[in-house]
Order: sequence, then C-alpha cells, then structure tokens
Amino acid sequence: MSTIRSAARRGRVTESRLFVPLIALGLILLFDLLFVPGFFNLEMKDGHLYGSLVDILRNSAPTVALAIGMTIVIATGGVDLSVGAIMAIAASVACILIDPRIIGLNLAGNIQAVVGDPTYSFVPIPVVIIAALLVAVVCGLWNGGLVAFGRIQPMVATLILMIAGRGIAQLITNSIKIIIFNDTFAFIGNGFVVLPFSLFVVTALLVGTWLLTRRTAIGLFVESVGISFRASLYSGINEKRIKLFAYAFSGFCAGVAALIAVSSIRTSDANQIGLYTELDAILAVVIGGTVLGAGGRFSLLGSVIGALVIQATQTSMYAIGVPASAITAVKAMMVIIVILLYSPQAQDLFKRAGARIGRRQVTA
Amino acid sequence: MAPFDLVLHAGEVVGVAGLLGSGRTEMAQLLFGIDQPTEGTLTMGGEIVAKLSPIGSIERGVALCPEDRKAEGIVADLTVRENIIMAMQASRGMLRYLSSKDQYEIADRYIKLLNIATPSADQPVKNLSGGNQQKVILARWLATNPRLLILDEPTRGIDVGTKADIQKLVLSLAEDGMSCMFISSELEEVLRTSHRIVVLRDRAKVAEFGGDVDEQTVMRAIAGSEA
Repeated sequence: MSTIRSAARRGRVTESRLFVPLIALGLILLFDLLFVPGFFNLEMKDGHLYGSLVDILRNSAPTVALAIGMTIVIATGGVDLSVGAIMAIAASVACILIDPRIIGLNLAGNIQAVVGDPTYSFVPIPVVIIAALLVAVVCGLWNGGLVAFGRIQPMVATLILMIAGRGIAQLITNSIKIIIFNDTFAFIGNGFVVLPFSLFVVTALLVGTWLLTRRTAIGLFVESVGISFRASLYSGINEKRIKLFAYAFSGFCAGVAALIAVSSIRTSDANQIGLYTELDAILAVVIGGTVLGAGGRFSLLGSVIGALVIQATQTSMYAIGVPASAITAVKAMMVIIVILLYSPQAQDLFKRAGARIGRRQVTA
Repeated sequence: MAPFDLVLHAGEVVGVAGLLGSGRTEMAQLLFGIDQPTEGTLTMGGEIVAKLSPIGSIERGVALCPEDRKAEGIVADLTVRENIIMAMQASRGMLRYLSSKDQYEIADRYIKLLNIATPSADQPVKNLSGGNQQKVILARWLATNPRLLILDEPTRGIDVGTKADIQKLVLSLAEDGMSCMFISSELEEVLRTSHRIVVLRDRAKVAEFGGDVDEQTVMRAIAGSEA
C-alpha cells in the first residue's frame, strides 16, 4: 500500500511545474561536481561567505529580479523586451542624482576635492533609490499603456522602448559614464551580510511578489487574462488594468535589477548595463515552465530557478575555460534541451518511466 | 441594432427568438455592457444606469452567459473552482481575495447544486464535457447572486440530459424571483421555458408574444411573412 502511494507521489513529482527546471539545475551542478574540482568549496573570510555557489547566486541577482517581473508579463500572454533598456534608464537616473556635477550641474568650485568622496551624494540615497524605481515604473506604464490601450502587440510595443531606452539613458547622463564613489549606494550590489546583500534584495522581491499575486486575486486575474482575455472581460475582470499592472510591475523589477547592477559596477554605463538581459530573463521564465506566447499559469519559483540555471551554466563554462565569446553557443544548446524537455513527447516519456518504476516496486 | 423597448420583470423568463444574425447576441451584450449603446437608457430598479460595463453590470446584479462558451465563457486552463469564483471575485475587487476555504465551499456547493460531473473542484475546466462546462459558467454567475440572468444559447452543443437540467434550472430560478432572458435558436425550447417571447429580425425587435402563443405565429414573425 505504501509503495503504491509513493508511486502516486512520484507521478506527482514528474508532473510538478518545478520538475524540469530542477532537473536542469541538478544536471549542471552534477557536471560541476564531476569536472570542476573545488566547485562546491565554501569559505568564510571576514564574516563573508565565498565560493562558486555564492558567485552564482550573486551574479544571477539582476536576472532573477527581471525574471520575476517577466513572469507576470508572460503570464498575461505578453512579453517585455525593454527591461534591459529600462535598466539603463533607471541606472542613469540613479547615477545622475548621486553625482550631477559631472554634467555641469552644481559644479563645485574645487572638483578634485569632492570627487572620490565615499559619503557624497547630491540627494539622499533613499531618494535616489525611490526615484530610480519610479522612473522604471513610469517606463513600464508606457509599455503597458501601449499594449492595453493602444492594442499594440507586446513584442512591438516593448521593442520601441528597447531601442529608444538606451538613447534616453545616454541623454540623461549626457553620454558620460558617471563613476559612483558613494559607499552606501554601492552596498546594494557589493555589500555583504554574510551573504551578498543583493540576495536579500531579490529574496524580498520574490516573497513580496508571491504575496502580491497569490494572497490577492491578482495572480488569478493575470492567469485568466493570459488564457482568455475575452472570457476574463465577460467575467468582469478589467483586463486592461491587469496588463497595465503587469508591465508596470516588470518595469519596477527592472528598476530593482538596475540598482543591483549599477551599484555593483559603480558606473553608469548606458551602453552596457542590462545589455541582452531581456533575453536571459525570458529564457529564465521559459525554463521555469511559464509558457511564452500563450500565457496562463505561471510559476515565480520556476523562473527564479530558471535564472539560476542560466547563471550556473555560465559560471561552470567559465570554470572549465570556455571562452566568453562561446558562451552563447552553450546557452543555445541549453535552450534546445529545455524546450525538448517540455515537449509533449518528453513529458509522456517521463510519465511512462515514472509509472514503470512505480509498477516494479508494487510487484516486488 | 435598431432602437428597441424591452421591459423585464422579476420572476419572469423572457425568451428571445430570431434567426442567426437577427441581433439576439447584440441585444444581450448591450444589456450586459460589452457594447455601448449610442442612444437610449437602461433603468434598473428605478435607477437610470449611466455607464454600462461588465463589472458595473455584475455589481448591479446582471449576469451574462455568453454564446461562445469556449472563447467567452470558460478559462480553459483554470480549475473548476477558479472558474466558478471568477466573477464573484471580480466584483469583490483584486485585493479582497476569497480564502481558499471559502473558494472550495462555494465551488463544492454549486458542483452539488448543478450536478456538475467533475472528479474534484481542482480539475482544469477544459477536461470537462461541454454540458458540464456550461454548468460551470452558470455556477460562476449564480455565485454573484444576480437579479437578471441573460442566457445566450445556453443549450447549444450539449447533451439532452444537461439541456433539460438547464431548462428546469431556469424555470426554478425564475420562481425564486430572478429575472431571466433566454436566447435560443430552438423555438420549441423557447416556447417551453418562456413566459413572454420577444422576436428579433434584421437587428430590430419586431414582435412580442405571451407565453401561450403557438409555434406557427412565432415562426411567421421570425421569418417576416405577414399572414
């Protein structure tokens, strides 16, 4: 009897939404265990935890933040290509507010004396953070407005900001790379509280998003709009408002990602910050089991694991000496494998394999 | 749609007959607020309704079972429970989420009341038969406790048993004081369930009969041959 029940439970494991992303993560870690000596070593130095695993978590923080927002957008049946560009805009806003002197505003008489001051900030750091997030949300509202009220295809609507965004970011900083000396701001991306501080930021974002979508009806409405916006409309759900929320929220997450990224490299680099990260975010969501294009059921945790899978692959490839330029090829292979794992044929195979193991135990 | 006058009473089933494309669905969507009228007023319970919208209609106690069950009714990947509570939740707003205990209670109550054949409330609604899907949508609307229930082709493409169930249900709801509008292409069914029959032709209201009218008369009104 107990074996039958365990077989039934196994069936549920393979059907779980987290099955594929966890398998993918497991495979990569197994690869590291076999081929990368010392990959799992962790070291405590000055109260900080160091090691490849910590690096993976830390480097994936911006992608995790983006993937959380992207999950909601993809669940409504859309996609947000502009998150990388929104990151650049938000990063530029943050940097210009910390140090506007560089583009000639409020230029101090003796510039050498103030540059490099780790406590200097033109406006208080909390204001910097709020302003950057606010600008990111406004960018998201623009996307959401185009999709919900302009009825423009999400891919086209967000492509506009994807292209224009980096130009806007350059305009904000007058094409100058602003270097951040402020230590308080840099703590977001560089600080440690045993673990990297950015991990606490994205964990808070994940928990907050989970509460927001699963402890209110927003999650249900997002899924419902993604599956059938006409049926949602007929049920009294304001699908326009839901879509507007989704893109605004994705913008907010891009703002969080921007704060982590820009504070960790301490430079506003409008050309490089968040470059191609929209693709990583989309990939993370797809690995996590939320269906791109169709919308509907979404899994926040799946997307987070998806982002970890991407970063773990990248870190592992660097560890075994694959050149950075070839990483994209490895990523492409990973995409193919994941998509195949999600195909109905592969799912069927899992189910049959699970059933066979279960039967063998019952007869034994 | 040409201007029309229509009075609906509590406890009464009004049948709407007419050919395909005669304006029946348009009439239903206008009443529910999917489409906006260009002129005219809607008065409900003595109050003139200023702006029509689905959510406004739900709050006023108007419900619409749409004609196209697959595209406008069910949300295929969501569970029976989620489909049933959707409209009720929409009227409560996003933030006042029903607890999962309440959700199951409501779902189980309507599964029993309407005799919905499903293994559990957690079954995706797409796995149910057409008739049971239709019942789920009915449950969604009954959960909002409507005063006016508009049914657009509720019996199309479903089995005979469920068809009879739905007709019986409509009559018993009317007995309990609900006002129902019953749209169907099957004239016999309209005659059997309605207290009053409205006939539409070429997007205009052309006739109104009492419930004891004979089939021939209605048929003539539908076809438009004056005899």
